[in-house]
Amino acid sequence: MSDREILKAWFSQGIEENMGSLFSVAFRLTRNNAEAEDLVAESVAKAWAAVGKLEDRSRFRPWLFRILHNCFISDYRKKSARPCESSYDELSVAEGKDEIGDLVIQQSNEFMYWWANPEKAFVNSLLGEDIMMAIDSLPDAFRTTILLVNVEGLSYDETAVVLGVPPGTVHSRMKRGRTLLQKALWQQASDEGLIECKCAEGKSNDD
Amino acid sequence: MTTDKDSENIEDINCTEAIDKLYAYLDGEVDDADSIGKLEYHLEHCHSCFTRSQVESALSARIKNAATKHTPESLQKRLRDMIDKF
Repeated sequence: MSDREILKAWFSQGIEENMGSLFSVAFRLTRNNAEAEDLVAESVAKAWAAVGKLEDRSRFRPWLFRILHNCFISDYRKKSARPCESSYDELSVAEGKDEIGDLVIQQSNEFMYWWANPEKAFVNSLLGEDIMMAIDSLPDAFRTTILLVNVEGLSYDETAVVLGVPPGTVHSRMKRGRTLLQKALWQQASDEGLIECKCAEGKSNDD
Repeated sequence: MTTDKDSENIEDINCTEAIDKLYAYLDGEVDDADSIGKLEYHLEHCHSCFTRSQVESALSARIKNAATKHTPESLQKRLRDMIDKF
């Protein structure tokens, strides 16, 4: 077996093992089956073209996600006419405002009342589609970070490599993204009457 | 009953600091034994933060289940055909 054949067999196995993860992330980025398939195929082709430059094969998985993410940024986001959302997390980090307290103070009183005393049953009452709707509502930076960490199990360091940002930014995005996600879920559940809004009671006591 | 030692330890980190570290802790990103000890002690003694940690864990599991998609057969075939031609 030639070196190229050995490399190809190794690459093929790596793609087989990561196919589902690549498609899951691509679908959440593009929100479209056909575009997600194209994005994965294009990423795999680019990965093969660049595989010779991959020095540490143990980093194959984050390296693949980085290629996929770069393909999405350079091609698909332009096509889908979704403007690049403001990178307010990076701005906040740069300004030294990445503490959780700074984030929660920006939220509504009603949400904060719940956030301070959440009910675990709330999570169980949500449908999978509610959760995905809330994730899809997040800005790209938060959505991608949450998917890579929570769904694909990448470490913060690996996620930082994929996204081309410092690890501290991943940490900050996780905190902000998860809080924004909970606010979106809380809003959906509140609109659907799945949670009892105790905020009115809390407010009247305050007043 | 809260002892003086408990009060001292639980005050090592307040609720804001505990929540600030909670996500990284649940994601396995806190490797400093002292920080882990202080956070776990706080969670054991603070009902609100403990409940939040339960909500966060449950939500992580739900996100993982909800976001994992089956790879379409058309894509599986497309990728295998493409790699065959490399």
